[in-house]
Amino acid sequence: MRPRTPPRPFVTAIVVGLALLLTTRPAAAKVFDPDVFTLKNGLTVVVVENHRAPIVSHMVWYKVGAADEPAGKTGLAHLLEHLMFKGTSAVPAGRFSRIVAERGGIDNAMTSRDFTAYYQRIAAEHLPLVIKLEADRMAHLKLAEADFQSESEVVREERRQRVENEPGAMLSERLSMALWMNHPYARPIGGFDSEIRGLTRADALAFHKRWYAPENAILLVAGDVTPAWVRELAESTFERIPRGQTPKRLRPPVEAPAADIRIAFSAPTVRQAKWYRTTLAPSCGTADGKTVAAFEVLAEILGGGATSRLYRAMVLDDKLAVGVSASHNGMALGPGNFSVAATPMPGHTPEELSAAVEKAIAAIARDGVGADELARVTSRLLAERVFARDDLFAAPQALAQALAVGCSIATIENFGDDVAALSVDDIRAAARTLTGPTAQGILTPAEDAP
Amino acid sequence: MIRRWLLPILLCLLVAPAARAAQPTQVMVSPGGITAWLVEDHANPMISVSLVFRGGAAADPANRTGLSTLVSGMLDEGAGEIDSRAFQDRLDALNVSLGFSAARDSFSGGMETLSANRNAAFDLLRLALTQPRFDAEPLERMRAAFLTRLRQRQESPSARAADALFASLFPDHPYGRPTQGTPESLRAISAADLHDFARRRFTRDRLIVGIVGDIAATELARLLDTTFGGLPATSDLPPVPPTAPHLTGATTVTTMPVPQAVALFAQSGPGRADPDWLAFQVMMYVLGDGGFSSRLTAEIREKRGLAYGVDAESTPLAAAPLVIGSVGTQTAKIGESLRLIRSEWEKMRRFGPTDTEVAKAKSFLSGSLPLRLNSSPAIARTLTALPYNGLPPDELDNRAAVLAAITPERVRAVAARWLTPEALTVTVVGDAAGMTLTTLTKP
Repeated sequence: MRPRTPPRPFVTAIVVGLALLLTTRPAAAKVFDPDVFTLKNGLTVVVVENHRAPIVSHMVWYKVGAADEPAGKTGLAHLLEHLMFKGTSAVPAGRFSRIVAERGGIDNAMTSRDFTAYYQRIAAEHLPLVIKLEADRMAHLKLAEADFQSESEVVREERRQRVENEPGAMLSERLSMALWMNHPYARPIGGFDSEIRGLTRADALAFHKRWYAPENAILLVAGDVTPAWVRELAESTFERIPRGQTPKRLRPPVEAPAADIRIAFSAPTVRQAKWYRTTLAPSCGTADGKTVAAFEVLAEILGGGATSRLYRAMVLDDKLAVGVSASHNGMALGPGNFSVAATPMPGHTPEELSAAVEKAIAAIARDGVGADELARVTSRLLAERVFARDDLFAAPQALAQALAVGCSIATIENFGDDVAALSVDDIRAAARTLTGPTAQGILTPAEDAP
Repeated sequence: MIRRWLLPILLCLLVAPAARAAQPTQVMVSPGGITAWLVEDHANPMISVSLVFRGGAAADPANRTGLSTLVSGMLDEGAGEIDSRAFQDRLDALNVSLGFSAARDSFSGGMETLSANRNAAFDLLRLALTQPRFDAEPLERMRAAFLTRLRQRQESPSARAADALFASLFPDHPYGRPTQGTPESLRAISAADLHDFARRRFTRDRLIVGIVGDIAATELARLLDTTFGGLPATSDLPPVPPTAPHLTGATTVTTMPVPQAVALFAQSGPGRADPDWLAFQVMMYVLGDGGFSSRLTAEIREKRGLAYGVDAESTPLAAAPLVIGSVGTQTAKIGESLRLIRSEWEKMRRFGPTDTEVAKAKSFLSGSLPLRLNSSPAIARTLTALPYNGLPPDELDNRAAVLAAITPERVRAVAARWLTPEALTVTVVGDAAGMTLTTLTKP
């Protein structure tokens, strides 16, 4: 997930994991209760009404990301995201964001492995304008060579800032390559610098023509609107764009590591050791809802906060680590992955962290978890839906994100029921899949670090 | 990093008028004398609480820097009869999220709870503020965590640039000390220091409370008294002395082997209560605080591709209001970025913004006010930011009219009065050997 401008606090909430998607489950009362319809040209429209404030969140999600780039052209999806602000016949380069700002709105965009998304947050009265702007650049992107060149430099600076200046990010990049091997998820979302430099204006326009079509997009409008109004606006703008010929997206199967792989990364700037462990896991694109839910719950039980098993064992009891976390990335068209990260206490080694985590995973794989543990985490996830419904901007995005990675809204709405239906054995079965070979990353401080 | 400590003070400008929410802001005083600003909203069964105590890291003793930060990590680690583990278990069982943070001038807290659990949640908040335990085990654990964070800050060029900037601007003032402390100061902090902090800082005369959500005013009045009534009425903590930043116009470089150099630059600005404040915000929007609409972004990013991010904005510290900007550019070209920034600064001082730029800036600043009404925690933070800055509940409703009355001439006069390109003081962190900074000190 790479936003076009440096992330402000509100931008960071944009990737919503499956745990949050539980909030979309219509239990006693519906949560988002979205209206979903499809235009004649295949554009999917999702509307979430929320009349708390006279504002609207307007987003267009394209089902294309870094994993869809041609070989040797990493960074193309992300560069195109930047170039979408460089003009059409109707809106000259540099005007898009200013038109939005002059009406009190903010805008940005982001690229991930499986999607590219654009948004504006603005007073609801300006929805007709921003819908028109997005429809215009879906169909009519125009790029001057000079704008292409300067924006290529901008994304290279972005890579320097977010990756090359940050040893942890450099390690993550290498660790992904080790885990995903020849799968497209191995590619860094922002691209390799050498490949960014080789991209051309023609590459960007061809990628736009290939993927930016109505049948490959989702329009999400959340806020002070009615579905009828959004439909009317979408019909008079997006629906005029002819259907394209978007190719089917391919996510090949991935080779699981044959044995443990360890990547040690050291740079003169590293001052603090850190350890990462990642394994392949199911996603909504590769498995049913209940299977995915088990991994979400397992991540919470293992590493969700100060009451989790790993925190209690490694931080509170054994004093091996100052911090530990676990997460499951299950929002993907291709396979997902399950990650654990820990920061050692001075005097302890990454190997000790690794051993402690293996022990904790093995214990669940052998003995399962307590019914009380499962109930506690289920209750937490159910409470989160109430908190999520409160946020007009972040939460409804989960609906569009799910569609953009090839999962359905129905799958998401059933997710809560899937969590509630999990048994201790389901968690044990999930843990068993994590005991195989792993990819591990170790950030090592320089010898002379203070 | 900078954005973190800016948050509590800047929200007043950024956040939408609470009074435009579904329910109006109620300024209430409990029978026991606790004031709170409340927006009742029964649409969702949850309650958001925002707390601010005046006084932050700048009031930490010189040999105990990082004290405020350490306390912020210790308040959910046991209180009253409940030890650390039991406290965390209780928060978890109730699905209460509770967190605290320290800035230079203030100490903030936030709590989210389902309304069904409100009594138990407010009771945990009461215990955390009035009877924190600061037991040895969690203290050593948190000390280790914050020492680790200090080491990780050393890996970040922007964090190091921020520390270097404040150290150079305030060599003899608490603002110059790192809010996160130093390894030495963190190691020196004892449980007694933490208890002393709680006693002197968590007092009713320093407390500001904002609440949003599913709770009636009458019920809240009772909870305010039980939660905060036990805090001491007043504090003997001395105020942070006013100071003037040490603005030399110099550029100092800290060497770090990274491909992108990060520069921070600063000068003095108006404080929140200064009559120039809003006109200055209009001007800064045009210069560096307007995202893709700012002149700095146009010149440095859009035209030349010299940076991914470049900006400058007001940082109204209570004892020394500043303007702080930042830019990140590949090592060999950081000098060019800084030269362009100074040149834009000088141009803005000399000619000010155009009439059109002023109109567009005002349009954004007015039109964006409702955007922060997106969630209960966001509205709750507004409810504390306004009184923190001495502003009335209807301030943001009236903001558009006040902005509308600001003329382009006024904004140009403010630019001429405040901007001092020759005093712009710069800290750069990067690979010094590769930089060409020779022309840096003059525009």
